[in-house]
Amino acid sequence: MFRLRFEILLNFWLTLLFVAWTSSLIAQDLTLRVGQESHRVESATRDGKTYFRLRDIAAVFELSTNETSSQIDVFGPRGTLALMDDRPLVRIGDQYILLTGPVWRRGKGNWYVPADFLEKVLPGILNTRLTKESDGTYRVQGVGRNRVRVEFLKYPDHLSVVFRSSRAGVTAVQEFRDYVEVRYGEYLVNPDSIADPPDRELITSVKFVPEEAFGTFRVGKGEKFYSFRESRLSDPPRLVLDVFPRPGTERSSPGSGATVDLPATSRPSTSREPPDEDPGQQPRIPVIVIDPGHGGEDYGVDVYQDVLEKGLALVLARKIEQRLVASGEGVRLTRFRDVDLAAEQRSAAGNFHRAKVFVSVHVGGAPSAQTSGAVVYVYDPPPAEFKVSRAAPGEGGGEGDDHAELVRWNEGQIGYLNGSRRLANLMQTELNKLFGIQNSVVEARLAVLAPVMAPAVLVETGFLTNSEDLELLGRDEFQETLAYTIARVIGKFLESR
Amino acid sequence: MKEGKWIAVALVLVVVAIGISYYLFISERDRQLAIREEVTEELDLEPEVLEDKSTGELKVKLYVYSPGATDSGKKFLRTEERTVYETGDPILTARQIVRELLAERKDVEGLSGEQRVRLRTFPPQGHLRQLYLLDDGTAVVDLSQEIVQGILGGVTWELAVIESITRSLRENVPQVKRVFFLVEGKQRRTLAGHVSIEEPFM
Repeated sequence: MFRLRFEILLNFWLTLLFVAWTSSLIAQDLTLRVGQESHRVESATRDGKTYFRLRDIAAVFELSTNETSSQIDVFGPRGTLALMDDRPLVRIGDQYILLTGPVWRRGKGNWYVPADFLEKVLPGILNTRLTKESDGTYRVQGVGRNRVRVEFLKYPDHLSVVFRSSRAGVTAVQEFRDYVEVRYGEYLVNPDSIADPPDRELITSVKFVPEEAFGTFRVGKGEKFYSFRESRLSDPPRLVLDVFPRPGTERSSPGSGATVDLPATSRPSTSREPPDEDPGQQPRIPVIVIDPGHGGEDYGVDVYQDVLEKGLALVLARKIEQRLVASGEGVRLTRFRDVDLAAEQRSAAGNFHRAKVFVSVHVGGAPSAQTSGAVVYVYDPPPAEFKVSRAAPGEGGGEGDDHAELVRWNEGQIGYLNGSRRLANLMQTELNKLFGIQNSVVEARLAVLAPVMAPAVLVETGFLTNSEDLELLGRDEFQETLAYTIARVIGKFLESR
Repeated sequence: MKEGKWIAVALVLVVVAIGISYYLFISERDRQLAIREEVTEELDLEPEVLEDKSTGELKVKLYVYSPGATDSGKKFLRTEERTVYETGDPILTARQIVRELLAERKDVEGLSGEQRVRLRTFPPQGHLRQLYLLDDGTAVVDLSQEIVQGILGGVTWELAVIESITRSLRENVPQVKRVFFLVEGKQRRTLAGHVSIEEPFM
């Protein structure tokens, strides 16, 4: 009798011991707390990364799914997201979000997502908020309401649009071709009232779009709209957009985010295609993608603090855009304002818009004041990448017009190296003439160019660490000449294809 | 009495089982924590350590950024000769070479003192955290964050850091076939925003 009890007890504790030991070796499961209840989300480890089971997450938030062999769509109260097996990109509407690892399909109905899915992607389709309590534990909360009133204030030289809100919560102000978007997060927006614009030639309307983020306002641009400046104020929380008319009729504007003044003729985003089209519904028209380097907290070259690379790059990019648009080309900028973008976002924008040419605009910096002139860079893949590449059209690179085959994210550029080198040589030759110097095209492992599926170069338009280049780059007429030269080279390159 | 003895034995075993499981749990947790902590091993570059291991002097060629150069060809780097301790240990030689590179002797270029310091390839406050040599000939060079922060922008600057270390190690230490960079003990996508360091450099 007692022997039996002893054996039972022994077995019980040995099992407990085994469970404790093995559980300490496997990835920590996720706990989602909703009110007094806790829901466990199963985890797994792959390539050293923690993954969570999508089915468990969907069950907690009551999300429905629709699965095919390689894709799963997840339907939330505020949108739908699409996940593809073994791909790190997630699509929500017309936006793409890059995860730290690829989505993992372990079997039918058994999908796993990387840990950053929770904070990066999930809030985009939910009406609820996720708050991290500790490692592996999140609290799910319903969001509060944010009452927003939109008013206009008229000034002699500009018009101010004031968004007065009961809580702070503006997460982004973004400029598109036809409107400026004010996006709210944190709390669901409840618009109190929206006044009528007093000057419809400057602002046509302010519309509320409840399904975008936690509520989004779109400020329609009128014929006289030129640029805007945003200010975020507190007590009470409010966002003020100072909208300036086109120079000539009123006073010129201070620009919208760049640290260097914009030219009088510059106009932000211009493109042949509408910016809010559904990528799944309409074929995209290939455009030239110009990427102004750095931005936001990333200043770029900042040896002399009064001139920052990020501002100069944006000014030059806009001037190049203006020249190309004038010659009838469709152009996209990766950023219009002083915001920081990851290298992946920049190259993803190039691929998303099916760039026919991708040019990343930078200004140089070197550990020597003697280094000067423009330098054009092309991608130089690491030797191993040539061996594993199987889908890139043409070994070692071609002109690469074939978008049909899938390639690894970091190998997108390999099939386009010949085109990129040709574009780089053309550009370097012309820029050498402009600077009166003999620099060569440089091949380097540049992260921003690696995934771009188009002829792509990164151009450093002079060195801010060289006093002569610094002086030249500060002059508006030189900036115009630079932009003209680069735009002309792009045009010449496209004509010769 | 006999029953009491069995109960006592069972209790002892239970306590032992709890003790073992607790010990395994704690040791595994500590192991995981230890992995996350910074590796702060000694570099063995103190003069007394080197002198102790030294069998003589070794002349090495440092490849440093050539002022004015923009291309990545031969002219991008110029050589400077230095003398380090000969120890017969390729790792110690490699560490001494990187330390010499970091202690850059910047020539005057007509700039003020502050500007000259800011235009150093490696900032004075930067340091080598660790350098390992793997069996396949990969030298793993772990740089401090200050070195990355000292790169004040530009592809040329990043290439100057990468190529001067890579070339100096490859040309002076025959065992080094390639160089892989870490920053603060971690792998990064780029060194300072432009050049990818996800793969080793040859």
